[in-house]
Amino acid sequence: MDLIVNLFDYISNLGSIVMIPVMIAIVGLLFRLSILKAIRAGVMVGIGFIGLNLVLNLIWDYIGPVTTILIEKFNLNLSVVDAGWPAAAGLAFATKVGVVIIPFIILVNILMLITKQTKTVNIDIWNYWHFAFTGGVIMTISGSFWYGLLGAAAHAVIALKIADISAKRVQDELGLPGVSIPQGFAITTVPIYMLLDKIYDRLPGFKNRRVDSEAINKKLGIMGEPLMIGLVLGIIIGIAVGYDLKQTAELGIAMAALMLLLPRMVKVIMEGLIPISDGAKSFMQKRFKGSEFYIGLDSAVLLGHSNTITVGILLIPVALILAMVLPFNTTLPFGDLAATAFFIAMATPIHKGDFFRTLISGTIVMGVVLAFASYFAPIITETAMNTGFQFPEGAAKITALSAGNWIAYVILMFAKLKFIGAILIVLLTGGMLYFFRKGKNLEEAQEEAGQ
Amino acid sequence: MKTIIVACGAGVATSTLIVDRLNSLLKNHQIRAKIIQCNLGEIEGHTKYADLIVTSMKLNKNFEIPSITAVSFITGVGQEETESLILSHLNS
Repeated sequence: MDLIVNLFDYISNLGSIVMIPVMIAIVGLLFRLSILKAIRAGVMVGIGFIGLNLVLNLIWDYIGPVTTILIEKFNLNLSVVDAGWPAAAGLAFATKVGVVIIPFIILVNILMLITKQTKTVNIDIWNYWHFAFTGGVIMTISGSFWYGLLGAAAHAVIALKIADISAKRVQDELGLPGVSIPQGFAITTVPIYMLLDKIYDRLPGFKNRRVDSEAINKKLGIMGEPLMIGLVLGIIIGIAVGYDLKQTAELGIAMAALMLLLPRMVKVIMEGLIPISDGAKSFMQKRFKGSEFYIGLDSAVLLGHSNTITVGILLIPVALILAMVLPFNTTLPFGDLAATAFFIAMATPIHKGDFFRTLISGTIVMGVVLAFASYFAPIITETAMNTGFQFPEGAAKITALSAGNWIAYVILMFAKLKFIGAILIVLLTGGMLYFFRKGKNLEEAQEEAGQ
Repeated sequence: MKTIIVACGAGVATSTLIVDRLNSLLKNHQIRAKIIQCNLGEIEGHTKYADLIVTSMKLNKNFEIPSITAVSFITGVGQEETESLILSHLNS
């Protein structure tokens, strides 16, 4: 046992550029990949991290100076750059919790399935980064790998349970039986949207209003492209901070480049993870298949609804305005503006496609997200530095809207209490499992909450 | 040579998986095709020179070229049906 711990310590101290490929290759072997395939997977993921690091420089070179001007000239306290989910995911996977997250969460999932605490088989391996994120920030704050793992497990357990609870609505929406959404961010929005839906039901003027979001969608079409979002935003911000023509154009192109290149780099990471994801998937599905199980998918499968797409695009200006007016916010929304639809993926099924409810709910969630993304910024930046990402001197802090995860925040607050906190985390997650026992669905849970 | 658009929410995760599956399907049937991987919002920009759209989610929008939902590539349930549907579009 000592040998294993020492070996693990040695590997994790090699620096992320070596540690990640080695750990991923080991995980690959665990899922029965051949040695060559495992090494290839590890190296591929490592390449993705190097690419990510290179592209992040665009933020510090071009967007960092803008935040300084916003602070000095306009008195806007926007000192943190939203680097977007690709950066957050890459960073989360690069933490010490992140490199073991895949086998660990699968283990948690299997324990939950065996003890009949969940019906969801979470095969959405990529989105394990949300759990790794929770674990990673806890590790940064508490300095303990084990508290980090506990936090990640708690987040995963809550995610599986909420996936079960919201499964029926999701299945109706998709027209696809036997699936659920245990994605680590999407599940944090489910309780908020459920509660808001209850409130809307009691408000006058909120009954069955239908708007043809398809028509709005047509007009907004091309604006949904990340490249265009980056370009337009760069130019607008350039003009706003008083750049000259050359600087404005430069900022526009740089922001467009960031929007296009960041996901490409993460794609390399994803490609490296495909064989492991396949191995993990067939391992899980062989053991847990049949009608009594739900297949856990990414919330991305919900994004095809025109209501989600339309409100998603409208949330771009909403996020920017909220960022300027909310006093507690320090985040300049940027990277995740290309992914705003993800924030309301669960709102459309819960609000049954109602445009106004989705828009209002989306705005509220965006405010919540900004608050927590701002809170996490210094911790994420410190985690990134600990993980070996190179920050230039005096660089702007980074965060991601998709890391504005209130469940991660609650778990972190408990984890700060160390041992007592760990006990409380176990008790609370256990309590939640007890409350939602026997696979109660969304409607029943809402009724109970309403009484 | 046919051109296939593969799209998912962000054009990163799920679509990478679908492209991987699609490539082995094409290879097994010795079909040569060009694959464009993108996100949902970018589909429209590619439809003019493409023949088929394969997405990870149900699309509520109609495009001038046929589209196929390939959730089965992720879940593994009904994958063969989706594959033969894609093949029939490519061979037509």
